[in-house]
Amino acid sequence: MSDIANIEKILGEQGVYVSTTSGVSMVPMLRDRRDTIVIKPAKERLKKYDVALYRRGDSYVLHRVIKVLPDSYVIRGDNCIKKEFGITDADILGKLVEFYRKDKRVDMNKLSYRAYCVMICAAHPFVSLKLRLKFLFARKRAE
Amino acid sequence: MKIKEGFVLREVMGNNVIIAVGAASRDFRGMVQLNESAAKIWSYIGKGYSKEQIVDAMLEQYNAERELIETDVQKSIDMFLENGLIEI
Repeated sequence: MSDIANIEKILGEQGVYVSTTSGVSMVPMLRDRRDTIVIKPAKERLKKYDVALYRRGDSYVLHRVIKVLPDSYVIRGDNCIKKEFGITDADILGKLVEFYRKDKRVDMNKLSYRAYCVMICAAHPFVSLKLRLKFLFARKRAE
Repeated sequence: MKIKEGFVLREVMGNNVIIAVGAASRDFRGMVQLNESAAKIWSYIGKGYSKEQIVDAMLEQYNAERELIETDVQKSIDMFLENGLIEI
């Protein structure tokens, strides 16, 4: 069974999917294979700053909603340059409802978390610049 | 009998769930939900208890026949083995 089918099966049967993340696209909030995520099926439309688990072809991605459009979402990883357009509710497997940094639960309803969401989105031009410079230096070094 | 590296028990929203972290999560993408007694058995395996020691420890906590506890412990161990969570 593919990963995506497995996740859909677990969400369908148990109503919750618990796992770790892989990759660095949601750093610093979620660290590669270290932190625990709790996903539940989205019962209503997502809101700005929600973290969505969605299909991208045969794989799945966990990124943040940065804009809600009438028929789709604009989504981007906190540590990514590019936005993704045209993600619809049909692509959404679920949304992040809780996460644990190592063993410590992070309350997503707390003001500090909401402030983090606003701040990380506002800081995106700097994150983007940092990533572009990093790629540029890495390419120069490889030449 | 020991827990394979990378498998951890997390208490999430009142449920006990085993997930893989670190390198183990490359091959194991699912999760295993445990009831209260299975979670205790898991923690005893983590402490290095043998099957007999686990049965003794469970007997101290549950008012049940030894045979019943033994069956329960064996079932949990079999389930952990089937899912590749522990090794003997």
